[in-house]
Amino acid sequence: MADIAIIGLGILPGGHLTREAEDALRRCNEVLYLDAGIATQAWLATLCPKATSLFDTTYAEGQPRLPGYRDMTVRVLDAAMDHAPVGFAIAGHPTVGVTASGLVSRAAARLGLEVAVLPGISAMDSLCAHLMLDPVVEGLQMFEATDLLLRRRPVHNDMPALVWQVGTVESRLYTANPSRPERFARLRTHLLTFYPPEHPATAVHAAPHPLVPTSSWTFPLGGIEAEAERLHAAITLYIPPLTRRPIADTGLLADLDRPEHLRRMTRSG
Amino acid sequence: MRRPGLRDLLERLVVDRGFLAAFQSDPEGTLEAFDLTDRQRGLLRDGGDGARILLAEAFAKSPKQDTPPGAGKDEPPPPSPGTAGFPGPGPEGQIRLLARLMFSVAGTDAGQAQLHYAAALSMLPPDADPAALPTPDADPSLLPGDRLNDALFELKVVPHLALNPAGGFQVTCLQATLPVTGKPVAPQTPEDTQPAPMEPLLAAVRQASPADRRAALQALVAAIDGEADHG
Repeated sequence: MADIAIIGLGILPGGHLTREAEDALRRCNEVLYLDAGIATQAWLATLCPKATSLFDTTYAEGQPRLPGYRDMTVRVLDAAMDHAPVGFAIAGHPTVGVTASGLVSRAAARLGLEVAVLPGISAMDSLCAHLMLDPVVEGLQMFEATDLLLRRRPVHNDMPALVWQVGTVESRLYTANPSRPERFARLRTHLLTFYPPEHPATAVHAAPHPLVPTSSWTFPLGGIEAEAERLHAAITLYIPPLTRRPIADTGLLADLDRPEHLRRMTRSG
Repeated sequence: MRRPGLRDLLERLVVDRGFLAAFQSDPEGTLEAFDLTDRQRGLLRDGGDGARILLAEAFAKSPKQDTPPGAGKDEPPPPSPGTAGFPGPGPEGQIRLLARLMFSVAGTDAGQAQLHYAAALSMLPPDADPAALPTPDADPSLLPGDRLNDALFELKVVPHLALNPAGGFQVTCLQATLPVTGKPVAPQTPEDTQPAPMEPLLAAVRQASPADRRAALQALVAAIDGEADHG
């Protein structure tokens, strides 16, 4: 087994853990975890002899989040150098929106520590199931809310769009406090350059507990500021396409069902 | 003996899959064993939205969610008066430090290369730009041989009661810049092995005792993170 297993716990504690991840947790001497779920400590303690929360000691109200990522990286590396194998377990998928996973991986490589990354169910997976969204059909564009504004990224309004971390937009400081409407003014202005104000957006909160199913509500994009109190850090925003892009290559469309076209592209069996 | 309460119920639903199945098939019967208020039972019967309210309340009451004093307020408390000659703590008692790690390599009589290192710290006034201030230095005699590139860090020290309720501090690195200054290393010949920029920091981690390892790891991780930022 690798010295460090970077493990995705999934969004629903206890319900989303893969067999592969469970096996890894059972083999670890310690699991250091980043998940504020109310039962995560008790649950992980049933799988691993030592379960250590990284949340409380790396996030503090009003403090930057980035140093916290370094701090948790240090703690994972220190544990691995002392009593490998250890697990670094994160809610959701371990490389989706998790700065510390990459940092642990890069630092471990420098130190000659072996790392395995075990995928988990992300908020996007829960969102696709909840909204019956198939990202393969029309494609799917994804943005991190603050990055969307920093780079003034263009949004293609003929494709579905996800906006991650909408509840933490415009700040790298941690807070558990609800947002004010003003927080979303810049995001609203940017999105309304691509969509009309009445265009719907759906806020999705993936199930955090077996008693609380995945939930969502829909509101007009132009009214996003009125949703400020409800748009917390665990919300992902889904924006359906405004229009459908017409087919530009009609020749390819005609070829799709032609046997001779398939024969030209494949070897005979 | 205490009957289990709401928090016990919420935990067991995650930990015990058999209990979850029993709850889903007979919620009223399962709840009999728990000490719950009528309001809590009502919210649990409501399903998703009611349970969401209970979960949020239980989370807010969790002893694990304690935050340092001053958290949750819009304005930070006024800074404490400083000791004469020092800038004094900034908002929420924080102190900023400029730290310079200096390295050198010298040969020993046995023909081996020996790594020397020294650190110098200076306290930053609350609003000072570290780039505009002279960097702290060390006694040159501490660093025999050829100087390697220095590492410069801006550190923040804040009281962190969650980390250590007895009065602990948390040190976080705000900036790490590598390389910064240092005596130029002698030109390399093709046969020379070019030392990786991280090598002194890696060596410090490998040579550190278990008690000192976290401090060495902090310098290494800050440098690796800074490398990604600038890369």
